[in-house]
Amino acid sequence: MSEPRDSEEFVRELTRSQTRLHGFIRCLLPQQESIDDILQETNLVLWRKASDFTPGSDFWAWASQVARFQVLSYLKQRSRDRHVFDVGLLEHLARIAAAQAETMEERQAALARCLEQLPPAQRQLLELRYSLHQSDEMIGATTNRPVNSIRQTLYRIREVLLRCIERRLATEGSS
Amino acid sequence: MSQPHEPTENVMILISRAVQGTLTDDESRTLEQLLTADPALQQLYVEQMLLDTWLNRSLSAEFLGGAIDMLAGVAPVQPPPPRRRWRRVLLAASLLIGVGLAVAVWWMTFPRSAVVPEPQVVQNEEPRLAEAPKKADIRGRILSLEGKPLIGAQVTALAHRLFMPGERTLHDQILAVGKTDDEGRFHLSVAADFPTWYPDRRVALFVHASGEGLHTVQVPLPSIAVEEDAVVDPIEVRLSKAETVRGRLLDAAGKPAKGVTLRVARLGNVAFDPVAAGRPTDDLPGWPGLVISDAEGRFELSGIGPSEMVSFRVEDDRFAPHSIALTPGKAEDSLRLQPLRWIEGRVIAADTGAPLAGVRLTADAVTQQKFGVHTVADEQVPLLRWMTTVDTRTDLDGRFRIRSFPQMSHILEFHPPPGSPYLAVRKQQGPGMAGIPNEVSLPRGVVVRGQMTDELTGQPIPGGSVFWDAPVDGVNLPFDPSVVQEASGITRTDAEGRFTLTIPTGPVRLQGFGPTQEYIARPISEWTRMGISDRHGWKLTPTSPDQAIAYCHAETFLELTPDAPPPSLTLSLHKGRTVRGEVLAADGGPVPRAILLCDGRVSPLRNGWGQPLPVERGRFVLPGCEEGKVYTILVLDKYQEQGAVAEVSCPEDPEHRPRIRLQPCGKGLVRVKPAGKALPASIAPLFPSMFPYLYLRLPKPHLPGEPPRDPGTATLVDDLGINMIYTLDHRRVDKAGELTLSGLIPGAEYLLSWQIQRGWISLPHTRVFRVKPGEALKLPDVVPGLPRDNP
Repeated sequence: MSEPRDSEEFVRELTRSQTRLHGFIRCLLPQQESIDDILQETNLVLWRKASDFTPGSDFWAWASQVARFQVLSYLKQRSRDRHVFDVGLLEHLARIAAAQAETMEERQAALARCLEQLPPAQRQLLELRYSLHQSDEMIGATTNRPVNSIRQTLYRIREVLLRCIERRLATEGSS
Repeated sequence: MSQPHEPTENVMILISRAVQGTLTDDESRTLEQLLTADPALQQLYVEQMLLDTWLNRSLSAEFLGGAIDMLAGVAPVQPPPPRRRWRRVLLAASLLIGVGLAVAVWWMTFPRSAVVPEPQVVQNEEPRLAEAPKKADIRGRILSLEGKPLIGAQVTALAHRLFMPGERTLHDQILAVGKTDDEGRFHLSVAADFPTWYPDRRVALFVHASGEGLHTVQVPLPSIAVEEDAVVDPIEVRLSKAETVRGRLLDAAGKPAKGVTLRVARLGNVAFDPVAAGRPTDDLPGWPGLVISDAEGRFELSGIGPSEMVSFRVEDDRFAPHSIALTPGKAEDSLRLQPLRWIEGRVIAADTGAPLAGVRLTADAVTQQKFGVHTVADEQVPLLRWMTTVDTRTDLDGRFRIRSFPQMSHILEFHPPPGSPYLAVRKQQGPGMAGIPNEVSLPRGVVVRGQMTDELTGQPIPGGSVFWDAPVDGVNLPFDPSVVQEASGITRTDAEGRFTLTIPTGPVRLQGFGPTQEYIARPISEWTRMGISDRHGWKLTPTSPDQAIAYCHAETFLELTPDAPPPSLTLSLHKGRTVRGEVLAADGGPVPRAILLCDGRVSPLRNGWGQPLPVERGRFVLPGCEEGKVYTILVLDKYQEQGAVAEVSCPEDPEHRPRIRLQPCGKGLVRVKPAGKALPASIAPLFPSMFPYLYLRLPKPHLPGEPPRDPGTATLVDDLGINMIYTLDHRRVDKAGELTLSGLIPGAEYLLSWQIQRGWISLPHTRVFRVKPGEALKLPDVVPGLPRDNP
């Protein structure tokens, strides 16, 4: 393992990329297995190859490629036990996810504004899901609603937030 | 961002399941096909997944809590990194702290401006949730057998699920999951006001550490009525040496039952059945898998904490669904299995004959297994003594098939899905194959909808309970007597305070109960027959507050006809005031845990009968009080055997908060002499009718300066669940036939009641008494009699 040329900037970039790497890997592994392990492996590979990193270069493009490779390598072994997405589809999804995650920071800032504007009922449903980590089944039991209705509602809330984020990015980009 | 693309509901659900990480292989294949065929859907899928990740990071309490912990010097909950990388990890950790803090500060200080049009979710019946859930932080440390911090142990917090009619109760709900850090510490944030049927909230911790065995710990949460911010004392758990439970299964002929599959249904304080009503529930990592008996019928499960009793359920197509509870480290226990009997049938609508799908079905059978519910006084009081429950749902053709016992009676309950116009029914089935219903028809009722609101503010009340009851005079039943009513058909109000209930036509009363005891209890009215008609002429007449024995928070009378449109109902509850005070032990110190009894504090599950309240950390809270009234409260600390009777006024004087000093409990000594002879010891469970029952009087509230107009409600001490020694299984006489009634609250009025049989006539006898602090009161002999002793 070699030291990066500028370890401080490397660690900063690596730290900044953790959430987007996590999201990127999740898109390729909908059954949510071993996401943390793959993220850790990705971090290790990035760290081992840190000396290849040139400050000022596109860290995310590099990191997402490493993550993609780690996922594919994991899926090669896993496909014997469980169903995994076809490699061609995974490549498509990886391209879309890498592009989306590239602007994560702007999107996350917009998300905060959009969350603020969400009606309390929807906001609180999100809190049950994301702050208290309740499963859809648990939320259904708590709110006395069918679990599929909870799933649809959460989907729609996320859809509303995505549209709101898009509007915000467009507004801020044009101003 | 893609162009607007509205997927079908099924696709939405599929993507949501992918987001939650619960896709099965089949669903994964379906999703793959959909995504391959539709590039726009790929975009939507990726957006949903990424947004879910960001929401997790933004809203996760642990994320912010983790940053705060790190600042406070608590290491993040991760296994320790290799020593040679510590500098880099330190650098990364410090940057993470920075990011975490920045997010925390940004979250708290972000300007609340609205420039972009407000997003709205387009959906008709979107629930409006109540105020944000309150949280409780459970922190603690797990130590190994040697007292060393246990690193990476998984700690899961579970709570008793709020079971509803037609559901089996043996399944706790996962509230939070975490791991211990390199100092063995864990931190779980759970909803402190999770719904519960019980007066207090308690969480069971399930500790799973590789090589250390499975352990459970019960953690009472402070009552949210006492403290808004629930603070739980840190917990230290030192694991004990893991043991093995061993059992042996024999068939009806006494031969070894080979290859029998057993599922762990309960382990210590945690009941977790991974399959409920035939559908898989959440995974609980570390929960033992299936166990299979060997050629000799033997089975064992190792790695169990020494104090964790393990209950197994037999799941085998050859044998009945027996349960067997085994204690770690004890000698092998054996069980003779009965052959399996399938109860099969079909559920149809009584009016049309059409099959009814999705009907929940439970079958209760008398078996050797006993489960109970905990009470506020830490007692396990069996609700369904010696019962085993199995459940399922009807398929699209209304058919059901359920495992059962060949030689036992069953009680079957059929509960249609909420909102169905059909009524739930209960059927009793005898042993053997006789009486198996080929078709069970559910009578049609009327679906009524309503809302529970606060009388003063008009605000909806979520989490309340509602059920219905109808008059029964034993002769003229206004509806099918097999129809389930009262608490067995309970429903809860949703986040908007709304409820749906299916009731029969004819005279019906709805009873409403708030989610807490904050509401003023009103006596349940009496059904009175005004006319001679079979179905009509029933009215509700008010019960005098002095005579009331059961209460609810709201009631309303209905008399619907099949054709008339059901009215829109409102159950208005009146919030009372809360009186707070202190409870001191006899030596002046605070009382850590005790119970409080007061007339009018009731539970919907008990059909409006008395419900003890918790006393925590030397403080009591008496909610639901009416201004200008004086309440008599009874306090019992059963651990120290101390108690007191006190009066508190509403409103309280904030300058002089009530302070109750407990005194040593008294005892009552009574000789039980059937037909003039003392009973041999340990006979109580065999001859329950020979034993006297103990009642406790709960005085009524009264006006200041005036004595109570009525002595109060006499409640069976057994039913209050305040002390296990009063339940029949635990009552014992000594060699002289003397029964000791210990733990009696000094100054409280007790009633000892028994029956004397004269031929066919049963004559009730009652003795009223009070004890002084520390007194051992000798009571006159009780002479109950069996019919053969009293010709």
